[in-house]
Formats: sequence, C-alpha cells, structure tokens
Amino acid sequence: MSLLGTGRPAGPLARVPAAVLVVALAVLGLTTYLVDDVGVLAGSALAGLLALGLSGLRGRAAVRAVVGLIIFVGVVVLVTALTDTAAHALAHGLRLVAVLAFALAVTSSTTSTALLDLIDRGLAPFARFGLPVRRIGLAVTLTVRFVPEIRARYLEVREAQYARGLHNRPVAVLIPLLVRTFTDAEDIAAALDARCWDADQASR
Amino acid sequence: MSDPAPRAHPGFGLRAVSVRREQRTVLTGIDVELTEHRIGVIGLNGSGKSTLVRLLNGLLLPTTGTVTWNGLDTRREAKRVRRAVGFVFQNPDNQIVMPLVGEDVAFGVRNLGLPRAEVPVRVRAALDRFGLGDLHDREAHTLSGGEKQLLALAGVLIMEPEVVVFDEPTTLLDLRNVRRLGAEIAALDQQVIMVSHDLDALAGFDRVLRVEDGRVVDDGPADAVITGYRRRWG
Amino acid sequence: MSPIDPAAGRGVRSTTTTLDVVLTAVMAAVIAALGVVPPITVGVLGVPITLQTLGVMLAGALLGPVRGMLAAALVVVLALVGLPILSGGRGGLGVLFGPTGGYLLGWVPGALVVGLLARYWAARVRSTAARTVAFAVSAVVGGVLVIYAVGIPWTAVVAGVRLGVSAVGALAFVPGDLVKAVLAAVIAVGVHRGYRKLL
Repeated sequence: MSLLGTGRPAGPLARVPAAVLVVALAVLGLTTYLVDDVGVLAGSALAGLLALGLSGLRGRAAVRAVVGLIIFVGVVVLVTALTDTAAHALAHGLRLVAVLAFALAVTSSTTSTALLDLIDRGLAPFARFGLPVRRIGLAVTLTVRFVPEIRARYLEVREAQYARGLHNRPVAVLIPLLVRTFTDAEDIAAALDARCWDADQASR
Repeated sequence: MSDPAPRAHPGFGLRAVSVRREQRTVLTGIDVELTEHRIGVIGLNGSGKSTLVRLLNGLLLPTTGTVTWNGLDTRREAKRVRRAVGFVFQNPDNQIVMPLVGEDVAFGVRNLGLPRAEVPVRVRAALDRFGLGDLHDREAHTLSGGEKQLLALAGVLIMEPEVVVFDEPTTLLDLRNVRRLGAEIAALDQQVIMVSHDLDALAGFDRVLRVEDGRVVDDGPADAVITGYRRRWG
Repeated sequence: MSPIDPAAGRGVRSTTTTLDVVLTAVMAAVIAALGVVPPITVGVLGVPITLQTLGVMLAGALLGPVRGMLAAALVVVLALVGLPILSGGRGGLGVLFGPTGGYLLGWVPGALVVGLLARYWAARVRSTAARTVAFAVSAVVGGVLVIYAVGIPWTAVVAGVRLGVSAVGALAFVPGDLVKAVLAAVIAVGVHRGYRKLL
C-alpha cells in the first residue's frame, strides 16, 4: 500500500499553494457557519462545487466521494426537516455542501507532504517556547514509515491465528502484535540514537 | 587499498566494565583493548555479546568501569563517539526510520549538520556504492531484507565513521544476501567489530572474543577461538 | 539524547527520551493500520466492527496519558492532512465536517483520559481480574464517554441538528464501542504482562 505517493494532484486547483487553499477553506467554513442568509449559503455551495470541479478528483474516487456527500447531506436535510424547520434544513444542507465539497477539493489538490510542511512551518516559531518541534517532526515521519510495516505484520499474525483455527479474535492478534511492536521500538530508538539524532538540535 | 600489514586503530578501551540491568548481571569483569582491524565477537544467545558491543558507541552505559574510544569516555562524550562509531543492527526493519529510501540514507548525515546543498550528492554516492541508486524514491517497506540491510549500511557509511560495529547483521538474511553483505563488510576501510553467528564470515578476522555468561572466556586469533567455540558447543 | 535505559520506563520522568518518541509513533502507526485493515466480524450476525477506536483506547491504556494522547493526536493530524488512514480508507479535512468529525477530534482527550485512569488507577490494581475490569472502565470512560462528549455536540453544530437528535444518532454505536472497551482491557492486561516497562 502506498500512503504517500498517490501521485501528484491534478487539476487547475493543484497549482494553488496549499496554504491558500487551507485558508480559503477556513474562511468558507467561518462564513457559512456564522451566516444564515440563504443567498450567501447558496453562493458558498456553488463555490464549493466549482472548486470540486476544478480539483483533480475524477473517476471512481470522485463518484464514491460525491455519493457519500449526497447521502450524508441528504440524511441531515431529512432529519432536520423532520425535527426542525424546512428553512433550517435547506440552510444546513447548503452549508454542508459548501464545506464538504470545498474540503474535498482541497484534499484532492494538495499533497499530505505539503500540508505537513505547512504545519511544520507554522509550529517552528514556537520552538523557542519549548515546543519540541524536532520530536514532533520525527514522530510524524516515523508513523508514516511504520504504518505499512505494522499493517503487514497485523495481517501476518492474523493469518497465523487463522491457521490455528482462531478466527476473529482481535485479542489473539493484537497482544503479540503490540508486544512485538514495543520490543522493536527499543531497537528503533537505539538506531536513531546511533545515527546521532538529537532532539535539541537548533537548526536542521 | 590493500595493506598486508595488520592495521591498528585508535580503538576502544574497556576497563573494569560490568553491566547490571534489572537486578541481573549481564556483563562482568570486562577488561579489553580493541585496536585490531577486524574483530569478531561470538557467543550463545544471551551470553552478553550484544550488550558488549552496545557499550562501544555509548548506546548502553556500563554500570561500573569506563568505555572509551580514542580516549573519549562514552559516558561524557557519547555524541562525539557516535559520530565516529557507526552501528548496524540485526533487524533491517528497525533501523530504516524514514518512509522513503533517499530520506533514510540522508537521515544520519543531516543529523550531523551537513549543509542541505551537499546532501543529495552524498546520498547518490552512498546509494550507488551498493547499487541501490534506482531505489532512491521507493518507499522503504517495499525493499527486500537484503536491500534494507544494505540501505542500513549505506546510511551509516554516509556519515563517514571511523569504526563500524555490527550486531549480527546477517542473521535474518538469506544465503545470497549473507554473502553479499559479507563481501561489502570485508571491503570496508574502517575498523570493523562484528557480533556474528556466521563463523565462516569471521574466519579471516584478526581477533575474536568469545563471550559466555557475561564474561570474555576466550580472546585471540580467529582460528583458535572459533575452533574452541566449535569444540565447546558443536 | 540519552542512552537506552529500559529501567527508566516506569513512573514519571521529566525528560522525554527517544524511546518515548518511538513508542508514541509506533502506537500511532498501529491506530492508523487498524483503519486500513478489514473490520472484524463478531457474533452470530456477523456484525463488522472497526478496530480503530480500540486502538485509541489501547494508546491510553498502554502508553499512559501523555504518550497515548500524542499518539492519538498524530493519527488525527495525519488523517486530516489527507492520509487515507481512517476506517474505510478515508481522510482529509472534509472529515471534520462529516458524521465522524467530532468523534475523531474526541480521540485526543479520550486517549488522555484512558491514559490517566490506566496509569494512576487500573495499572495498579493487584488482582488480574479486577485489573481487567479497571482497564475496561477506563476504556469506557475515556474511549466512549469522553469521545461521545466531543462527537455529539460537534456533529450537532456541524450538521445543524439538535443535540438530542445527534445523541440518538450516536446510540447505535454504543454497544460496539462497549465491546471494544472490554477487548481493549483484555489486550492491555496481556500486553503489560508481555512487556512490563510501559506504565
């Protein structure tokens, strides 16, 4: 499985810097949640859908995402219409379309790496106040590094348990998996120290 | 760079070293100087040999006594010691720490403060040395065990250490990779100290120490010590 | 940068070691991995339950309040920046505005509470049976009560439904989460027995 490389995002929106897209989403979110005017909400919903169209999302992934969006918004509108007023149902529906569509557009037009870099740059000034920026960065990369590895081990241990006739026993799979993972953690930490990793290093 | 005369390195000094962990004595009575070019460490599992080599770069500190490299005490100068003493572990998975191959090779040398501009050049050289150049953008988990272990070695050598310590580097590899890694290790200019169960790999070494129940019970030329080991347990 | 001293794993330390960083990261990786493996079917009816919340409960139960919470936070951040690590391969900022947004955010205080109860109470209970119950209670308080306390209001605000409606919507998931809490307790007791230096 590939967590990182699902390819470069396509579409015109991908050329907009990630920071801009995130801020735009935040602005859109604030606007739609603080405003009740149906006109504004309808406009926002259109903006969201437009952004989605400009993103690179296509094909099966697009269908799945849009269907999910329609279902969720549909349920919310229905429930709100039944428990509240029709006007509220419309407003909430438009609001959700706006933010969900735009958020989907942002996710499809940015790479996780770009967003993580953004967070890193955002946190960097707080290093002087004691925020362990280096440790956080290391923890993030370690997690990404080991997700596929642990997933593979999980499946291995599960196969072994199945072979012993122990089906659907999360306990029998997770206990050995976790013990092994924590034992390995000692070696991983030793390997990091051996290659001179220093949490307190001033600059990278 | 073939030098027929045996090389001596500044080396390690272990004086009156003992290691106690959780009420257990893991090592005791260790008094050795390790200056030879190729030194092997053998012993049964649980004998203390892994503990012994982890003292060499300060990953473990002795409970009593001192461990020095080139006069530097690991207790006070662990950082400086680790810059010069590289370490390759047994399990390739546990020492590849970055998601992408290129990133992982660069990890150590970036920790040492190498200027950003120089990193890509060194990374390329380190990967090409072992024929791993094509793997630069691959995700680390897709590599085979042998490739991972070579990658681990590349990530250590890129830091230009003066010594490389190996803790059973080939135990988890298949035969072909055992030979491949063995060949790469044999070609290293650095001082090599290696814990191994692969007695053939140690045959050409200058010196071998045998560890049993936390003590160094035999210490001398490779042939003699290995023969003694085989006789004891073979 | 401190050398590895496994005996220092117990109790409250003032310095974070490399091992702490690694434990936090691999626990986060476990939580994420539990989102990308197929759900487990339980019982006669074959109801699928996703194991990810179980992972969050375990983070607190195994690593304590700080590391457990940070592990949960790592997963939340990685999911929001777009990694498809939430059950069903979902991820991205849109999750915040969807049905599970608040519950995702609730993982962070949830793991914290599980961790607090685990470290200062459950882990110290002597008898194994009682300790398992204590861990289960910790998992319910942190992994269900706290998470729902964040999720229900958040969903109400985001979806614009009334609090009561949001709460009713959450009811269906309670039985499954209670099962997970019990599983988490059994697993936590088992792991602590196999690797003693955590709490």
